[in-house]
Amino acid sequence: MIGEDFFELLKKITKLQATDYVKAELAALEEIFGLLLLGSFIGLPAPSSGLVIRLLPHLGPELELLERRVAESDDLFAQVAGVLKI
Amino acid sequence: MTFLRKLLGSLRSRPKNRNSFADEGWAKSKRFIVIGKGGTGKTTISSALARVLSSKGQNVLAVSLDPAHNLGDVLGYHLSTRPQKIDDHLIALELDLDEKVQRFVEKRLRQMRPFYGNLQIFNADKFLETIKQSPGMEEFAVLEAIREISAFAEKCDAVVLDTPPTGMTVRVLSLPDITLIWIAELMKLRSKILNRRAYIQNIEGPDVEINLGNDPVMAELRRYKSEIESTKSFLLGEGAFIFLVLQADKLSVSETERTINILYSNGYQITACFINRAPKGERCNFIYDSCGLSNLMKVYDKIPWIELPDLGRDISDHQNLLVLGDIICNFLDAGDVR
Repeated sequence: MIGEDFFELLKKITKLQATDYVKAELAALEEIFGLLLLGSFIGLPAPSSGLVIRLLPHLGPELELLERRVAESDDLFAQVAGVLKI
Repeated sequence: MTFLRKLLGSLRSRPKNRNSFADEGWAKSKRFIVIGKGGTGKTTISSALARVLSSKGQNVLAVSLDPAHNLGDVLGYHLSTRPQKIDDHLIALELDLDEKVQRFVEKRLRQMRPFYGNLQIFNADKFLETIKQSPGMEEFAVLEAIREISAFAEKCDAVVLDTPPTGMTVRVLSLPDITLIWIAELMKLRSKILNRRAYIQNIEGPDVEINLGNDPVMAELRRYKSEIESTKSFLLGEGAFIFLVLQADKLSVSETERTINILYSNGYQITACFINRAPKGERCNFIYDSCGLSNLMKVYDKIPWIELPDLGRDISDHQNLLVLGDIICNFLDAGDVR
C-alpha cells in the first residue's frame, strides 16, 4: 500500500533527522579522542607513549575518521552548514 | 584548564589510603628502592642490603634497572635479563631497557598491522620506529619492568631495586600518577562516545555497531588502569622503602634536595638518606657545612640521615658488603622506619 510506504519513509526521515546532531557530536568526540592520543605530532599535550601504543591496536575506526577529516578539511564550512541545515 | 589543574593537584597530593593494596600477593614482601645521583653508591648499597638480608635467610630478589649495569660487578656474577641464583636466598637480574622497549613495540606492531594496513595517513612502521625513540619510552619500559617484578615479588621476602640515576627515576616514579589522570580523562571521553553510539543505535536500529560493555578501547583502559594502580601500590604502599644515597659534595647534595622535593610532591615518603663514604673526625663538620649538607639535614630533620663509612676500594668484597648491609639493617631493625 502506498500509504504504508509513505509512513515508513516518514518514520525513517524523522529518525535520521533526530540522530543528525548526535552523529556530528559523536564524530567530533571520536576525533578528539584520536587527537588526544596522537596529539604529540602537532604539539598537543599527550599521554605517555606507553599508553598510546597500548590503545592504538583498537583505534582503527577513529584514525580512519581522522584521515577522512584531513581529506575533507578544505570544505569544513560546507560540512558544518550541512549539519546545521543552512 | 580543569584537566591541568587536576594534573598539578595530583602531583602535589599525598597518598590517602596506604592499606588498600593489602590483598596484593606481594604485600607481605618488602620493597627497597635505592635512588641517587650517578656514582654515589646506589649499586653498592643495593648489593649490601641484598647480601645481608639473604645472609639472614630472607629470600631476596635484587634487580638493576640502571642502564649502566654494575650490580653484577659488585655481586661478583655476570648477570643478564634472566634471574640468576647468587646464593641459596638471593636471586639477581639486570634489565635491558632497550630490549624491553623493542619487544614491547614489536608486539604491538604485530597486533596493529592487520588494522592499519589500509590507512594512507598512518604508516605504522614509521610511527613505531619514531615512538621507540620518543621521550618517555625508557621510563615507560622501567615502569613495565617494575610491574613484571611486582608479579614475581610475591615469591620473595624482599625486593631490592637498584634504580637508574635520579633524573630518570623521579620521572618513572611520577609516571603512574600522570598516567592515571590521562586514563581517567580518556575513560570519561570514551564513555561519552559509547553513550552517543548507544543513542544512535536505539533510534536507528541495530545496524550501528556498538558494544558498551565490551568496547576494546574501554577494556584496554580499564586493564591498564588496574595495572598502573598495582604498580603504584608496589612503589608507594606499605612495605615500600625509599632510600636516597648521596655523598658529601655540592652536586650530590643539591641533586638530593631536588629529589626530596620531587618525591614529596609525588606523594612518596623517604625512609632514609644514606651519606655514603661519610668523612670521619673533625673534617666531617667542615665538609658537611661547605657542601650544604648540614643545612639540608636541618631542613629535612624528620628524615633519618645515616652515615655509611668508606670501606676502601674493593666494594665487591663480600665482608665489606655485609658490614654496610649490617649498618642498614640495624637502622631498619631499630624501628625508626616510617
